[in-house]
Order: sequence, then C-alpha cells, then structure tokens
Amino acid sequence: MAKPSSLDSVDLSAFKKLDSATISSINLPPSNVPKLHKGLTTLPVRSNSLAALSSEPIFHYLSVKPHDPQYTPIINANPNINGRSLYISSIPFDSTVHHFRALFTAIGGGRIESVIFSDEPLPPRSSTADEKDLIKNKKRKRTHSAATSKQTAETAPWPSLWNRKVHAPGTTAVAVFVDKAACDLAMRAVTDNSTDNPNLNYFWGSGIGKGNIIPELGKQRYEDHMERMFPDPEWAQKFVDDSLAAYDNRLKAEEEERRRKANEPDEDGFVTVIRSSRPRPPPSAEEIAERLKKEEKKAKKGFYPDFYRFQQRELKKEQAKQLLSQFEDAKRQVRERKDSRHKP
Amino acid sequence: MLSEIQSNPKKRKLPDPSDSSDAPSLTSPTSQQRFQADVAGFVKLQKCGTKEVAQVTKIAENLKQALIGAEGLKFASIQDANAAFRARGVHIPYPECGDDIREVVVSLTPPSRVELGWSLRHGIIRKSEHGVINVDLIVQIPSATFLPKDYLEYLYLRKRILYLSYLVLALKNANPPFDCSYASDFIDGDELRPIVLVDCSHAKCMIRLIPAVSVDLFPIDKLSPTACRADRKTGTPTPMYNSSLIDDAYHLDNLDTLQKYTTLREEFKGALVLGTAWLSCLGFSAHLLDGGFGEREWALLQSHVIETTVNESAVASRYASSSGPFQLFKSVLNLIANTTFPIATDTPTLHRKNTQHNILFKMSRWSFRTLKDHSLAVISFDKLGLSLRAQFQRIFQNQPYTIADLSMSFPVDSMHIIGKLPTAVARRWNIKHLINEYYYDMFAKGLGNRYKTMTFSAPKSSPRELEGILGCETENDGVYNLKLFITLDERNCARILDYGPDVGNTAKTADFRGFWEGKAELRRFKDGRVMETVKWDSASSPTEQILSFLCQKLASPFQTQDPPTFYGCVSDIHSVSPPPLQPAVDLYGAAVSEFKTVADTIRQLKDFPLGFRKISGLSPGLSSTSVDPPFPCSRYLETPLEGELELESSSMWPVDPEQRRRSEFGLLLKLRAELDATGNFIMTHVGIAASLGFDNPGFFLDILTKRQYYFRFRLKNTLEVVPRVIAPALDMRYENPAQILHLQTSVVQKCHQHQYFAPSIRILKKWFRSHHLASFFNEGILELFVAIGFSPYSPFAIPASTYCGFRRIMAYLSHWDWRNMPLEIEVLRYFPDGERTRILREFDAYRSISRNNEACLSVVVAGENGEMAWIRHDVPRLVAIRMTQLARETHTQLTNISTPFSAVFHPDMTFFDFVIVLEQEPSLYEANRKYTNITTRQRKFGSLPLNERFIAELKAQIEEYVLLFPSLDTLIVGGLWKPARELDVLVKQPHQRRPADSRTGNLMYNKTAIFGLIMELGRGLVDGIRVPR
Repeated sequence: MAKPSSLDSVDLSAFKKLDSATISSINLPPSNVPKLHKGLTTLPVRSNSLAALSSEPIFHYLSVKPHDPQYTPIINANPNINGRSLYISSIPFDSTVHHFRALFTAIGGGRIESVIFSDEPLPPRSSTADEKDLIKNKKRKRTHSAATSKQTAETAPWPSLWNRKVHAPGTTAVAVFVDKAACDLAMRAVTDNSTDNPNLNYFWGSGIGKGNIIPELGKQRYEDHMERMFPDPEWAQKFVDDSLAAYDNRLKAEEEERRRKANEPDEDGFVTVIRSSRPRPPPSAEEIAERLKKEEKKAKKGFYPDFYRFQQRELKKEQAKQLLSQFEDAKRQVRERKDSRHKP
Repeated sequence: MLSEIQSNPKKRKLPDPSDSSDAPSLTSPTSQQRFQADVAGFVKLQKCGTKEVAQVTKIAENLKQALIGAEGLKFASIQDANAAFRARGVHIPYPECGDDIREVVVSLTPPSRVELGWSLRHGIIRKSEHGVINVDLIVQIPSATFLPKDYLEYLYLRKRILYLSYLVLALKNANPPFDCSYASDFIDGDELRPIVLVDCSHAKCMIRLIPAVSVDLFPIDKLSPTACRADRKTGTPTPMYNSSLIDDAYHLDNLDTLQKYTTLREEFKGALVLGTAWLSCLGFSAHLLDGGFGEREWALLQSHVIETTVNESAVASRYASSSGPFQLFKSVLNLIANTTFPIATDTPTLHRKNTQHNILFKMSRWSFRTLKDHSLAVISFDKLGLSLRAQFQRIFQNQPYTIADLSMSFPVDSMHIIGKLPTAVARRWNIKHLINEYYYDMFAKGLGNRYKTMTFSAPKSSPRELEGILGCETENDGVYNLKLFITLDERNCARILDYGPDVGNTAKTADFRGFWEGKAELRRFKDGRVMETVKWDSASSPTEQILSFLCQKLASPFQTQDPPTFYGCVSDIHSVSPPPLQPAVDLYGAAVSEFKTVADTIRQLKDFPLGFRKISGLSPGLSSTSVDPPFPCSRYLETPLEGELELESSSMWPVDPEQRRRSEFGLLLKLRAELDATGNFIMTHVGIAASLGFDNPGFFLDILTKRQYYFRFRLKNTLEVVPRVIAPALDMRYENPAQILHLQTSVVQKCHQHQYFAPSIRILKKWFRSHHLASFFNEGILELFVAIGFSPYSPFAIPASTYCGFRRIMAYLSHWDWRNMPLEIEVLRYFPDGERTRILREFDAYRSISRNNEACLSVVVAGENGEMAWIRHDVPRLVAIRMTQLARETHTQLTNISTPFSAVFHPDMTFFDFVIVLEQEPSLYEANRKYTNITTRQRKFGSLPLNERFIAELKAQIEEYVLLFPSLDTLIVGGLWKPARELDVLVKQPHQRRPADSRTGNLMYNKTAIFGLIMELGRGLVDGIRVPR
C-alpha cells in the first residue's frame, strides 16, 4: 500500500501555473531600475531560466564600481590588483570566473585575469620581489618550506562534497583585469550597458568557451553530491592515516625540539624550562596501587602523639605548663621594669 | 544561645523581615493579597454592570406592580377558563388540557406575593454569552385558588397554567402597556411546569415569570419520591411530579434563605459567581438536559453548607469556617464530592436542612456522577499541596475545559425508545430526560469500568409565542440526534475482554447473555474457571465497539436508523495517518528490536580501541513518535533511523579540533571495518555530511541490516556542549544544555507511561506537517507541547484517547500568548507561587533583549529536585502567528463535533503567495505494479533526500526574501514573501529588490529573479511554480 503524496491531498485549485501574464505583472524591467544606486552602476543581464514560461526579457541586476583599494584583506592578499579591479555586488548565485569573463567579453570590456569571491578563502599572501631579497639565509628558507609541506600533509583538505559551489546570498566579487586599461574599458562598458541602454541582450552564462566545463545545476548536482558523501573506504582510510601520522610526527618533532632546547643553554647561558603542553595520561591501575602502598607504608611509620587519651592529657598538661611559665616570665619582666623605674 | 542573647542585650539582633516567613512585606503584596485580588478581579469580570442591573430592576418592579394590581377573574370550569384565555389571545400549550377535567369553579385573584429573583435583589447577575440578562420574577399563587387534593392527578398543574395565563393577560392589559413580547417555556426544561418569558428586547433582558405556592398548601410529606400521585391507575411512582410540586412550594422559602445568607456572609456572592462560572465551563446548567444543576442549585448548596457548618461539624466545615469566596466554593465542591445516592431511590438526593426539599431532584445519574468527578478533581489539589492561588489559577485562568475522550452522536427515535423504558418509570413527561437516563444505564453497564463520566446533550425545545398557537401541544421530537461525551479510564479503556459471571450462576448468566446477546461466549481459563465473556476486536477501540453494539441493539428492530458517528475515533486517526501494512505497534517494535540488535553487535566488538558508554536511538521512529512507523527500506531511498554512539572518555584525543575531527572519522572507519568483518550486515558505509558552510564536516556510519533496516549512527561530540547565555540582563546567567536535555528527557519519559502520549505526539506532528509548519519546529519542542496536556497538576484527567490529547494540545496552543508568557511544563512537579513570579520576571527580561523579527517560544520545565530549565525556540514571527491562528481554527472545528476530524488536517494553501511543486517520482512500492512489462530505471537515490537538500539550499539562498513551508514529503513547498524593510534594501542587497520608487515610495522584490533562481537551482526537481489565480 503506497502512501498518498501531498500532491493528492492538497487543493491547489486556487493557484495557476506561472505564466507569461503573471511574469509580466511582476517583472522588473531596466527602465524601472536606476542606473546609479549608492555609487554603484547597475548592469542588467538577461536570465533565461524562465524563458520557457515567458518571452518577455527577465533581468538580473549586477552592481559594479571600481574596486576600493581601502579594502585591506583583499589588497593584503593580492597587493598587485590596485587600480585594475572592479567591485561587483549582487552577483548571481551560480557565478563563476568563466561567467564574468564571458560577460565582459560580450559587453566589450577588458580581459579578466581572475575573480575573487567574498565567500571563498583568500589565498596566502605571495611574497613580493623585495621580500625575496630580504631572505638571504637560504638554509632558513628551505626549513620554512619543509615545515609548510608538513603542514599541508597534516591538514589536507576534506574531499569536496559538491561538484559546483553556489554562492551564498550577499556574496560579492572583485574582478581583476589584466591591466588598468582593461579595467577602465570594462567600467566604461558597464556604464554604456546600464539600464538606460535599450539594446540589452546579453544572456547570463552565454559565450562561455566549450573548454570551460561547468557542471550542471539541479538534480544531477544533488545526485553527484549524494555520491560524494560516501568516499571510497580505502581512500578514506589512507587519508586519515596520513593525516594522523603527520600530526603525530609533528608533535614528536615539537617534543624533541623542546627537550633539545631544555638541555642547551642559550647565548646568555640560560636554559629554557618548558612544561609539556599535553596533559598527563591518567594513572593506570598499577600506578594507583603502588601509590596506595607507599602511602600505607608512610602511615605505618608515622607517630601519633595524641592517639591515646593519656597522651592527650599529657599534651594538655605540657601546654598548660608552657602557658604558666610564659605567664611567670611575663610577670617577672613587669616586676623588674617596675623596680627599675622606682630606682633613682 | 538564646539565653546568652537575652542576658546580653548588646548581642541581641533586630528581627530581619526577610527571614521571617510571616512578616508582612512592606513593598510587594503578599501571596494571600494577590490571591484575593485575583479572585475579586475574576468575580468582577463575571458580573453585569450596575447600570444594566438598575435598568432591569426597574422593568421588573413595573411588572411586579402591574401583577399586583391585576383584576380578579372567575370561571365556571377549567375548560371555560381555557376557552376564555384563548379567546383573548393567551394560550399556554399543555398536553393534559382536556383530559379528565372536572367541573370545578376556578377563581383567579391577584398574587399574594411577588418577589424579584434573588440575583436581581443583590445585583449579582452573571454576564451571559448572548448579552441578554436573564432574571426571575417569582409570583405566589393565592392558596385559595387550589383545593386540598389538587396535588393529585395534575390538577395543581392545570390551575397553575390558568394562573400563568391570567398573569399574561394582566400584563397585556396593563396601562400603560409594556413594550415586551411574551412566550411560554418550561422552567429548566421541566415539561410539567410551564413558565412565561417576558422578553424586553429594548433592555436586552428576559424575565421569567415563575409561579410558586405556599409551603403549607399541600401536605409535603405525602409527596415523597416513591409515592404515586399522578396517573394513579398505573401505580407507578412519580418522583419528578412530586418533586416539582415541592420545588414550587419552596421557591419563596429558598429565596428568603438565600437573602439571609447573602446578608450574613460576605463571601456568599463571590463564591456563587465562582461556582456558576465553573459550572458553565463544564457545560452544566439548571436545564434538565444540561444536568439539572445550575446557579440556583449551587446557591442552595452554599446556604446548606453554611447552615450545616454553624451548628454541626459536617463534612464541609473544613472550608466553610474560613472566610473567602474561593474557600466557600471549595466547600460546596467538597459537599458534592461526599454526597452519595440513597439506595432506595437511586437518584441524587440532598435535602435542605429540616425540609423535604431535595436540592438535586433535577439531576440525572450521569450528571451527578460527572459533577462529582470534577469536584473530586478540584478537591484533590489540596492533596497535591498546591496553594490556594495556584488552585484558583488552574481552575479559572487560561484553562480550556476540553475533557471528552470520545464524542459520539447517534439518532434516537423517541417513540421507539419509550417502549423500551422500564415500566417502573412514568413515561409521559420529560421524555428526553428519561431517554438520557435509560441510555446512561445501558452504556454504563456495557462499558463497566472503562468510563469515568458521561455527558449527554439532546436538543432543547425553544420557547413558544403565546399568540396564534391554537391546539398546538407540546413538541414531539420524534427523531433527534443525541450527542454523548465520554471521559474514559486510561487504564481500562483498551481492555478487549469483558468478564461475566461464572457459568454456575444461572440467573446472572441469563442476564449477561440477555444483555450481550450473540456477543457473549463461554470461555475456560487456565485456572479451570468457566465464565461468560465478551471479546472485542483488538484492531479497533473496544469502547467504540461496545457503544456501536449498544446503539444498534437499542435501535433494533428498526434498522433504518443511521449508525452512530464517532468523532476522533481510531478510524478517524487512521484516516489522517494511514495505517501501515501491519499494525503500527509491531512496526515500531520491530525497528526498536533491530536497533537493539545492531547496538549489541557494536558493543560486542573486541578490537575497537574505545568502549561504548551509551548507544541511543534519536529518531522519533525509535520512540514510537514518528508520524509514519519505520519500515524496511532500500539504501538511500528513505530517511535512515538515526542513532548516537557515546564513547568512553579518553585523554588521548588530540587537542586540536581539526585533528580530533579526523580522529573521529578514523574511529568510524575502524568501526565500519570491524562491523563489516562480522558479516551481519548487508552494507556498512562511512559518510561525510557538510553543512552549507563546508567548514565543519560531520561524519556518520550507515548500516543496512539484513532485514533492510537502514540506520545512521553519529558519534556524540562532547565538545559541543558549550554553556549558552540565555539572558544577559539577568546577571549573565548561564544554563547548562546537558541539564536542559536531561529535564526534557525526564519529562518525556514520565509522559510515556501514559499510553496515549506517543499517539498524541504523532498526531500533533502530523498536524504541523499537514500545515507545512513542521520544518520550523524540532522534535523536542513538539513533544513538550504534548507533555503539557499530560500534566497531573491540572483539574482534568489524563487524556485517554488520541483525540482528547490532540484536542487538549490545540486548546493550549490556541490560548497560549507566547508574546507575554512562557509555556509551563508541570509534569515532574508543579511551580510554586514564588517560582512562577520569578519565571515571569525572567521571561520579561529575556523578552526585552529578544529580536523583533523572530518570535521566541519559551518553554519552562520544572525538574524533580527543584531545578528549572528554560527551552527557547526561535521561529519567524510569521510562523508563530500562523501556528496560533491555525490552532484556534482547529480548536473551534474540534469543538464543533459536526466537522469531520480529517478536516483539521487539510492545509489552506491560499495562505501562501506562491507554491513550488516538485517532480513526483513513481513510488518505490508501486513502480512495477501497474505495468509489469516496463522496466523502470534503477534509482540509486530516492527523491526525498534530493528534495531535502534542494530545499535546504534554496532556503539559504532566498531566506531573506521568502519564507518556505515544505510539505511532509517535500513535494509541495509553500512560499511567502517576507515584508520588505527599507534597511535591508539600502544596505544589503540592492540587486534583488527594486530600490525605492521615487514616485510611489513602494519597495518591491525582483520576484522574477527569485523565481528564476528556484527554477535554475532545482532543474530536474522542480515541476513548476504556482501563483494565485
């Protein structure tokens, strides 16, 4: 007996299929969108996702402006993009670098070198030529690269679960052009193709070269994701083994380094005292038993001066005697002082 | 120490007011004062305003003067009098007119005494639902109108009717005339005693003209319930007739008594308002068909309590001696709870002190038992240790009275049933009342100890206009629908075997067989006894089967009548949640047993580096609370049953979180390898699941057993238990999530001891899913919603049916004002007054810091050892409002039992702005059934997991603009556009919305772009988008 689906039980008689009339009633044509908004130029691109339902052009609106070099994280990571990059906000969720290349090629912009998306981690800063000159000690440099390679093995990335990533809402992009001229050309093209241009006809995603294979969205992508959720066991085992082995090796190396440093005095002749950062393992049952035995022995050896009642009485008597003698001493001292005071 | 302090005055401390429990607080009112204020406020709310009362009093006084000043009339016979009144347009229908009427002179003179009703005298008139004020005007008929033997053979009643006609005529002829209309009705539905209703619609009041006689008119001692005073040819006792006469005789006497005690005892009025409010909540009224216990009877019981307390140490003295309306209210309940039937009459009896007047003479056996049961429930609060204020709040404030476990309606042919009534009953009057009694006897016998209370509801006759009705006699409702509301005994209602007498007891055996007819069967038990038994089908509810059988038996031999209609019966529940291939219990049990087998296999692994502290099931299917029972499935096609593995602690875990994660992954791989080596499972696989952020992947181990049960285990991550700030305003108070979880689990475990808890959860989940709300609520919060209906600290019994449990939850949800108060779960213990005050304070503090666009549903749980835990559940405000709105609608529909039960689960799709319809793939189980020669493509994944991922991703993409409401099977997703806010438009996403239009200032989303996104992201999954026509 099959379960009835919600399609059978739900009454959708009050609804109709999304049709061209509805689309045209809610559509947002470029004429209704300002060319400039908050300093960003609007760039409409046509979307064909609803083309089957309506022949009316449907637009998605990108916002573009020259990239602000004050945005330090990106500039720090990419110090050479000053003056040749555009900031693009409200990018479509399926944007890739190929989409932007095709877009700017189509509208007559410059050639794009790369695109930096805000939801992707920034690459580590590449060392400039000046910085390279500063590194004179080649041995030190080699050591550094070796450490980096170890780190990589230990923190190898997890396998990607998606063949194509979609961007989270609010993601922005910085399109880096090959040079400043290309960037200026692109910005000019954006201005020319903004909402006041009646001949907007570029479809988002069109013109991407055949060599640039972008996986399909939709059902296939989710099926592929389901496949990727279950990696090959052998591969997974190797991945974990390598990773944990690298981690253990690193810990061992660090421990050895510490020990070595503990035995070697520095230039001033001091020895660094280093405590182990790792917690001590809990004592085993044997250790506990041994410790208990020791305590027991110690207890046997011990002397209890107040164990018996007579001992307690003796102690009290002694304390009373001490107090009495102290009192007598004090009295004597007082008397002596008085006597000395009365003497001429 | 004390002597030391006394001897040394310097050491004496000043008493600290905060230390002393009985010291009055200078700033805040005491609990007692708050309680008195609560009661006074409630009483005030229930009463009519003084202006309205004054207006009605004025009208009643005018009527009184008109009646006193009426002219006398004299007729040669009763027939002459009838004819004369008819000729003048006054006719009060009465079926006995014309029967055996003697030729006696009838002399009608003005009333000897006319009194305003007791409520009118003291201005305590309770507000009615329809806004019409009902008051009484009691008119004493002069004793000279009657002869000494007129109490026999309805003579008194005939003259009483003539006198009523005389009164109406007097009012009609009054000068100046009254702007009123007149109708005839029966006093409290008692067909023996007509009254006249004076409808003053301009003043929104209805005045009842109630005839009364002097106490010494008839010999009261000759009107005992066992005597036959009417229809003496039959010799049948006429208890109702006799009691009616006594009641008429004591009308004015009762009035005087009530007036006396109202003056003497200050709390009398307040207690009466409380009592009538309580009775009204339970559906009781003075009408015979409503139980025959109303405001007047309650007031008489109050006076009885006070009378007996003054001189005797009666049962009620415990409360009556103390002052306060609530205490007096409880004393009356105590009196009811301790009243028993006398064996001789088998009718509720409680005589007023030193009189023959039985206060409870109108009550039925069923109504008395129900009233007593409710009284006992309230009285039992004392045993639980609840304070008076807590008791008051539980009885009168925010407590919806939804108590019936089973509601049914069945047609009754009164003419047919009259023939079946016992011969010892006079069958001429109040037929519906008698039929109710008869049905009660039959049902009570049939159900045995399965039921606690029964309440009958028959249609009442409406008042009749006095003019223009000639020759029309009393209504004869041949066939009508009788409604029955039953509260069941939770422990006994599911019993499928009824035991009868031993086979040796011939008389009882014959009686048993006569009652159960073909259902009775002899059964031999292991101990050698041979007994009569009746066995019911276990697939359905035994109670429903018994009631159906008895209805059918009572309707025979006329089989044309419709069968009884049950509301919320087992088949209704199944119609909402289709039963699986096997009985549901077996499927749940099979899944749990399979889970245990897997858990045992895991525990027995020897080469695994760490031991397992606990292996627990997390899925609702493993605790019998999933909407659909778990059943065997193929890999990935259905949602797996989730479990959790808790490992023994170890100090060897890496400190680095990323390395710890990798170690966990490694452990799962090791576990998989070990389980694979056992050969007990078809498939074991370790998977990686990432949230949308990709940052912290989680891991799981999938196991497919040989019985095709699909389990998914995750490692319990102890590092996730991080203290959470709940209210920075409250001195940075932290709550321990482990404690919250522990309390939540304890509450649910305690409730699981009730057999209808799990089905109630299932049906509530089904309701949330049907209305596309389930994705906003987790399992835990829904279970707590259900737990509130199973609290032992409420005046209602624990639900003994899924229908009752669900109805009660709906009542709570519909009354819950989540903006201003938390939901208090009092299952393990109750919250004392002080703690409740603190709860409200904490709630206010938290509310002040909560966000505006989200509603925080706060649930506070009481722990056994005095602890308390807050559970906060944030949902979009729109969703919370929708939940309350739907709960109200559902509660109304369930209250009106003519609505089919399944109707409350039909979603109203017009609520949504658009609907996304996903592709429906052929079902796994019917893919090849219809066309056997077609080979369908072997699917690796079911549509459910794919759709779930798509909807999750879609939600993340468009959550700023749209609220998505997916259905249970993810095939339909409702969408609501969120209200646009300027802040978002300017700062965040100018691309998705049209910026502010300079002409209109309106904001609008780029809806086409969002629709395009839906189609693009769900390519191959989305069938289409629907928009309103």
